[in-house]
Amino acid sequence: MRVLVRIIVSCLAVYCPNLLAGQDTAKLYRRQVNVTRADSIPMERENAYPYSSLHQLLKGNAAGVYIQEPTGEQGAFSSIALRGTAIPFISSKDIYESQPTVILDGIPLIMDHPFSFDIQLFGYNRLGPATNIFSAIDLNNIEKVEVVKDFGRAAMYGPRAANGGVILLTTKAPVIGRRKISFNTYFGMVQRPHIHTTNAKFENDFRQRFYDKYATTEQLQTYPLYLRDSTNNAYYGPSNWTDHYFKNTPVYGVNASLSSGTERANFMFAAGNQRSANTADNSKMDRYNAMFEINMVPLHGFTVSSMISASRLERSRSSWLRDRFAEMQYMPDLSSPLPPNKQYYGQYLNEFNKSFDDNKTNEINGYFKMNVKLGDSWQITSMFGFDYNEGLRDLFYPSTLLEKVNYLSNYFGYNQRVFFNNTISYNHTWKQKHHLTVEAGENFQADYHRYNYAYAYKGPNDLIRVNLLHSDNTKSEYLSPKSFNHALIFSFLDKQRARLLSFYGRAAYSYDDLLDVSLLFRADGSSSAQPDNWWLYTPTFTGGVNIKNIWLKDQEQVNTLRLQASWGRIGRLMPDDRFGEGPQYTSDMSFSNNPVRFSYNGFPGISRAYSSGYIGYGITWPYAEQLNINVSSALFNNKLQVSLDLYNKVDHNMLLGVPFGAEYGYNFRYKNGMDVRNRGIDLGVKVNILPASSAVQWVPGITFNYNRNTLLALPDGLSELTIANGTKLLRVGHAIDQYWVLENDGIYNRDTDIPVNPTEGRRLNYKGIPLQAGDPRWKDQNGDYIIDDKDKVLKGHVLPVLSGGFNSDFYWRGFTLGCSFYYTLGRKVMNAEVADRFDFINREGKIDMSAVKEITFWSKAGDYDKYPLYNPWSTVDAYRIDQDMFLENGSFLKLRNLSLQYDLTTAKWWNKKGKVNGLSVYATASNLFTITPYTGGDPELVDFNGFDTGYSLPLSRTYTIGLKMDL
Amino acid sequence: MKRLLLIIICCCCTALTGCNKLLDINSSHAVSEENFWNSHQDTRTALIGVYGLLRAALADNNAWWMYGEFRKGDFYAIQRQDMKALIRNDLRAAYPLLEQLSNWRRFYAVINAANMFLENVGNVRIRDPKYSEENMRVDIAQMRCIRAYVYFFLVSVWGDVPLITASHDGQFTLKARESKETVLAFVEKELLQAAADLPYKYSANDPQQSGSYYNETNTRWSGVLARKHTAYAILAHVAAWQGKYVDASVYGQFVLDNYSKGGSYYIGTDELVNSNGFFKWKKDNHILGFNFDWGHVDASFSGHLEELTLAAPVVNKALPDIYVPKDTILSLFNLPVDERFSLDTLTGVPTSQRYFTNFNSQIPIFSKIKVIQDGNVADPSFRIYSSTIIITRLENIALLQAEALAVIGQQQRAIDLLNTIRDLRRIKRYDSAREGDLIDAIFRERRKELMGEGWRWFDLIRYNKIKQNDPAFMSLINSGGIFWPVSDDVMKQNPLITQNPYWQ
Repeated sequence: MRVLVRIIVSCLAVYCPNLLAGQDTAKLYRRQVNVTRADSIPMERENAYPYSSLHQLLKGNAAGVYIQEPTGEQGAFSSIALRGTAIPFISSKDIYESQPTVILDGIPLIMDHPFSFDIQLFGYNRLGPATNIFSAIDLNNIEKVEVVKDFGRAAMYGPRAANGGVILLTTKAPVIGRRKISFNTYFGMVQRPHIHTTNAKFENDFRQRFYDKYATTEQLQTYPLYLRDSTNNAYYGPSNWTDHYFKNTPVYGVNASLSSGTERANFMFAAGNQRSANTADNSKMDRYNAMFEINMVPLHGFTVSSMISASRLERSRSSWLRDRFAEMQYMPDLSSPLPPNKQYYGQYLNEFNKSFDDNKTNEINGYFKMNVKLGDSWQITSMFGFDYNEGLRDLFYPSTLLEKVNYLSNYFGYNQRVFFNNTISYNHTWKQKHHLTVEAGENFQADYHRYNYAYAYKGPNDLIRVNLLHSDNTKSEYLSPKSFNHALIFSFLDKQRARLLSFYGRAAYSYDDLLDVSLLFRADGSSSAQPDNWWLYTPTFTGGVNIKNIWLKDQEQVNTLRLQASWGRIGRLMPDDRFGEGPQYTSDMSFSNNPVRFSYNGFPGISRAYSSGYIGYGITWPYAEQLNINVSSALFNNKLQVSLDLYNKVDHNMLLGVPFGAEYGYNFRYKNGMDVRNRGIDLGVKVNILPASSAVQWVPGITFNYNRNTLLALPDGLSELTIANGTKLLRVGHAIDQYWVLENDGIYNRDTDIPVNPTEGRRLNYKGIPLQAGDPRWKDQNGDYIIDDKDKVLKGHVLPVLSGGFNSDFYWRGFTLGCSFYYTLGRKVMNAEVADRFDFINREGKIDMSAVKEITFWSKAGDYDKYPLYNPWSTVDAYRIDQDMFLENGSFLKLRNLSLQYDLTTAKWWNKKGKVNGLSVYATASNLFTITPYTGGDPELVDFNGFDTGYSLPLSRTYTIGLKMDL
Repeated sequence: MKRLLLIIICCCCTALTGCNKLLDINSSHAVSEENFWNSHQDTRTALIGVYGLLRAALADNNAWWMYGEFRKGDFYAIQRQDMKALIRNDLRAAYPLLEQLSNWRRFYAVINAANMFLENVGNVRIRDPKYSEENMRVDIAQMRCIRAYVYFFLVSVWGDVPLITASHDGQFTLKARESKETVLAFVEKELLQAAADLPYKYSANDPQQSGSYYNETNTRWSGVLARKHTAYAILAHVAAWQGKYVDASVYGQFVLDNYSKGGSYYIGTDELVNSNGFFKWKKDNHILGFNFDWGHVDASFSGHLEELTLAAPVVNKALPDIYVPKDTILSLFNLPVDERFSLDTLTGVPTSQRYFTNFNSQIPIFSKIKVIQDGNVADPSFRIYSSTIIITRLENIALLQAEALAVIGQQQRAIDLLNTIRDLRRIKRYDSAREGDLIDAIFRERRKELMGEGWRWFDLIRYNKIKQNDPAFMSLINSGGIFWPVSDDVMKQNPLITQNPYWQ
């Protein structure tokens, strides 16, 4: 009945390590041994769900892990916040820098580097396939997922754990002594949703109210053409674009593994394929995996193990106009949006389907490990490993899509990590009570990121879709383009190297399973730090008391009670190799709409890095310190398992671009000195409610995280700082993820309602513009009769204050009914989609991103009646985004998953002596419902700023049926 | 056992020194201080960097025209609210465009880069024997000339601005605004000194610059860099801006006496408006201009007037962002057979419409400047442009000189110069009886000749300063409303900077 052991994946593994994962300290010196895995956590249940990434698995399953998926699109980039964030999110780059490291069998997986954003005009997606690398992991092969947040353990990974910890994945170990073949397959459908569509009549009616109230004759004349003609069937006809946009789509997955061997040599081979899909916009992803793992013991005490795993992801991406224009960095005339009528939308799709957009990601990683045991006490382990992933994107848009300009782009980029670990450890027990471990280790990790990217406009026709070059190297035209105009071909190459060299020593002592202490001291050298500051030395201490064994031996109700505390310091790597150079020169000749100018008059030109910020000498390592206190307990005959963590994590000396030096040409200057604290509680509880004798078993579990983020200090002792082009405020004593908004208090209906400054006789104004009837009534917080940034207040949080999941499983005679809920509280969402809709005046008659209207423009999400009817022509920008009118409660509760499994081997008629050892069938349903006060779309799908821009594919309702079999 | 641990840690620590080699890698997208300012390649790169930064500053948000052309100018915005606000001089309106334009950072980047150059060029002279004294002298003169021009532009846009003449690299200090007069005195001094060292041409065996400049031919440098007459042309503009018309006439005369040495000449109307004419590429005739070299993959979508003014049928775009209304065109181009634009008064049909396309539609397209793609094809499908940002040209200087002479009372010489331009455009010579005031006639000619070249607003200011007959505009001048507000971002990072009083 392996399915019966329903264990909340990672949370309890971390919090009750003694219960589920063996003793914490024991783990450390046994962690290199692959052959015996006493601490396995089955992932049987989670394998039933059609997750398309590791992120989706983690969602709600581990306390303190918050997953931010900006879209329901398969394989799209999503992010993890472990115990909040210490990095203020200013641009998309910051998300990359705040991601925790995922470690697969000791291989720290390398991620995409955000440096490609440097050449991108728009930061919506990273260049290339922009596929979530963690979609490449086949979760069927994973035996255990652990989220290690306690620095007592995480400090072993050094700077890789700076973003709140590390996520450890352990692949399944080969079986010993027999042969095992496992299959897991499922098939299902994603279901098309029903949404409220609109057409030009709706839009016209919506806008007419504003025109009736405020428009001048001149303004009436510039009414958009597509809304003007009510006989135009394309816009005024039935709005049925959803027939083309949403489809019921099949999904499937298949995984097989073969494992066999003896004590001396064993292996496992696994292969799998998964198709995941979204109901919207024909987007889907295929994953192909293969994995091979062997262990050998050629001599007694000498173990060699090796693993190699390869994956390929192929992704059909959503076809937002925004993303297409952002990729092309060029926009057509936008005065006629896509029509909502199926017939006309279909014509566009016909042309669109002549384009191609191939997104491929290949990943290969592996390790080779040797372990030598010298006697009972000494052990030497050497491990060599690598992780390589490459992204390819080949793109072609025909000329019919964009005013006779076709477009071609090719991207090839890779990330490569090689590492080398050596450890020597000494392990001894005296008198069966005193246990000592001493370990010393070295770790070298070299990263290399590189990409080649080229794009070209205006090929000769739509049949030539490849930019061929002349290949005859004897001719003068060698390597010049054959058919594309060389003046319209833009090519880029960039690379980034980073090395990390670490040494550490660790000593741990435990006394008779009653007390334990340990000390870790490490030195980390990073190539991204400045030469006089390459090395950082950090300590970590842990201590634990087994309360049960010391004081509560007689308490039968208490099965386990442990108190574990740790304090540690971990360095944070600098995100870019530029920081190591000090004052530097770079190319900085770009301007609006043209992000990549490296030359003038055909010569390269460089200067100080004015736009990307001044980096002086004396930049030092940022580091994080965390105090963690864990109480874990099992009570009432292990029926109630509780693990509670209190943490106080302070990131010190963080780098921040401080706005500075406009009179020296600089945007900002990087300075150390930002301190951010994340303080909170992680809680995991699992209860076995019914007595063991009952035929029905009910095991609910809950994970819970409460996190309070506080900015403790800013560089130069500043008390506040505006960042992100004046859209965000960092204020000491407040959280770094707050919205900075004006407070709405209604509307000024008459000029006479507008207050006048009694001393100067000047009317209330917005930054010098006198307010008029029809303008918003913003709260003048400081009473100076001027509405400006001083009247903006910090409100709400982008990241939730409370988040977690709730799982419940019922077992009855081989049936398992499971459900998992996911919830967040204390989180706000900026309803940017509605704000954009009301700001229509500033979004017409332009050729820029704000004027782009997607096909989803013809749908209604939200309650338009709750907003006041401001004058949209007002120069105070009445429907600006930075006002609390659009800020909404983004809390939600979702039923993410529901599943029913039946284990056929428990049936009476089952032939227990047959060749089939395990057989179960299951059915699942995902994304069933959401309860939220949010009036817009799905409150979960927002960007890193907490903005619901409407640019997200839905988290589709998915139903699957599947079968698992073990031979 | 603790001792063992200590030993291990000690061993590790000693090993560290040897490991530093592993950590010593150079960034592949930034050049460190020690790897720069070593050779003449570095000076060329830095020199080009300064020009490139200035081009970026002028092209960013089409700043050159936003500052100089549209404020209370001849263009009218159809739908763009931000442009409408700019045109009616409502510069504090809450639009990102206006906020970005009120930030002077990009211009100070040019100044800082020039200061860095001036401070470090001596090192290259020491380190690289191939870098000659003459080469250094010419480079320094160019940097001083460009820096002075940027200060002049800063003053004409913002009024009082901080005057920073050193890079202060690493030891940045906050600076307050300096009075316009002080800054312009510095500008004038710098330009005069720079002019002495500048050649008329590069790689053309000019007495001031012998041999090929940075091993490139004359055509490569045509009209790209600051030259002697560039400095004098800027000096003429600086003096005129200050109302020092006697000085202006001296500087202007220098240009008019020497322009042929630099390869300048008066251009015919067809050359002016052809898509492969004056505005295309780089030319000796560009007294100061910033090119977007098509052949070197430098064409761009922004940074060209065409982005705002062109629309169907010239390019694929339904409506232009801005246009010159018919009434303005008709009242302005009221002389027969004007090659730029004229109307047959009897039939109402344009006899020449080189400046405008589709005059008979409701929204005429201002198509004087239209270097679409490389300018050689009339292909409306792709809105990428390679027109050069022309700061000043010979006709501009000639009319400026006419203005200066008219103000200081040398009427006949002024009329001669005005007629030089009018002959060029095939319109009747100036007749004071029919056309009235000479100053008015000169400014009207400037308005037509330089339409869309970024001078209208500055001309309006000079005109009103001379005439003093428009009380509304005079109050704008006197209260500082002719200057731009300073961006909030700038004031936040430097508390010594105060807002222009008019915009408080």
